[in-house]
This record gives sequence, C-alpha cells and structure tokens, in this order.
Amino acid sequence: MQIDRIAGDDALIARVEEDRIDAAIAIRFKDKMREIVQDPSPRVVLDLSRVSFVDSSGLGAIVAVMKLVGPDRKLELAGLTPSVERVFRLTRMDQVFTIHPQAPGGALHGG
Amino acid sequence: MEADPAHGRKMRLVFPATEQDVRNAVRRLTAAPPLSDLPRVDIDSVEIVVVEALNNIVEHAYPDSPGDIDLCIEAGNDQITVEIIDTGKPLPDLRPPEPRLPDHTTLPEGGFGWFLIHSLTTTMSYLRDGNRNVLRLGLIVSKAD
Repeated sequence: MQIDRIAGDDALIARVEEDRIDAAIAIRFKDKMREIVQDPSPRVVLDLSRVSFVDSSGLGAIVAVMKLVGPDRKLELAGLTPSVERVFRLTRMDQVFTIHPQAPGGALHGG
Repeated sequence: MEADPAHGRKMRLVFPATEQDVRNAVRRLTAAPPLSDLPRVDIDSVEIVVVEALNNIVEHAYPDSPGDIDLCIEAGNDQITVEIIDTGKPLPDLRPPEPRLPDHTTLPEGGFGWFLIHSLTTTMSYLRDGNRNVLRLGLIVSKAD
C-alpha cells in the first residue's frame, strides 16, 4: 500500500499511489493513513488522482480516516476520477468532505 | 469457418471467493469484450455493481473456506446481464436486503453495497436453487461503438 506524503504550505497531502482502494486493500489503507494523519499539519488532503476505482469498502475506509484526523480538522479529498466521484455522489458521501478538483499545488508535485 | 454467435458478447469466469481473486477477475472482465466495447461510463457502472456483489459473497457466503464464484456477463441490445452463482450460505430471508442508504450525516463506514447495486441496475433477482445462490442483475447501457 503506497501513499506518498507531500508537504504543502499549510496542508499535508497524502497521495495514494494505488489504482484501487477496494476490499483487498482497505484495511492496509486505513492502517497507513492512521500513521500519516498523526502529522500535526492543520489540513490533510487525500489525493486520489491516481485511484481509478473505490468500492464501498474503500469508501468506508476513507470515512474512517476522516474520523482519525481529529475533531479540529476535516479530511479533504482531491482529484476524484469519474468512477470514484460517482460512488461518492450516489451515496451522498460527497457532502461529507471538502472535495477539490486537484490537490493544492498539484502542478508542482506532478510526475 | 462457423462464427460463434456469442463471440464478444459473453464472458464467463470461475474463480475462488477471495478478495485478490475478485480483483483479478474484475480486471479481466473490464479489459475484454463485451465490457471493453462499451463507453467508459457503462464499464464503470458494471464494475461497481459486480465488485459490490462479489464482495458480499467473499464476506458472507463462505465463512469457513472460500468456495467458487461463477460469473457470467452477457451483452444484449441495450443492456448487460450479469449472473453470479455461488454455493455458499443463502441470503438471509432468501432475498437481498432493502437498499437503504445510510445517513451520510452520521459518517457511516458501511452499508453502501446493496444501495450501489440497486442504484445502478434496472433489474435484480435472487433465487436459491438447491445449494446454489443465483443473483441476476441487469443494467441498461449505451450501444457499443
């Protein structure tokens, strides 16, 4: 389960380097993110631009991570690809997160 | 040479009910006809529905050791039909649960699967046939290019 950490100005960007967050990987994703969100950065952005598919297990894991960032921070999402965006929209879970078209400073961190 | 009338319109896979086997099967399914001929949005719809249905089997049908899943998809005129057969435990009450969407304001971590299946399919049927669970799903899709 590879997740890259990128330090932004006031945001920690966690870019998922897997193409699926599904039942096979959801627990590992949660475990890895549990470590990552211990960073004291005031904002945590989950960059999903490399992820082409999220199932209900993956969605549940992302919600669990939202609860892990603590009461003072809200988990932000960025770069939702079409299928992923559809799953969030159908379940109305897109209303729970702040969703950006791309990660802050995305162009600088590309590649 | 006689043409196979089902060529490119049907695909069948049999695989064990494990998370990794489901991943592999779904990759193969979406990479080949009939699904690969469809517009992206329709491939995505079928993928979401199939993954959710298969996840249910992996999670609930075989509590002791993974049995097999027999998956068949077929393209019709404007629809894709999915048939999934397993020999695991029957669905409680012998029917799919009510597709109630969890209240997003409560930050639910589960309960989305059947709702997603219901949202993206136009037909759904389940029957218990001897020791087999047979789930049939139909999706309306655009014609292949």
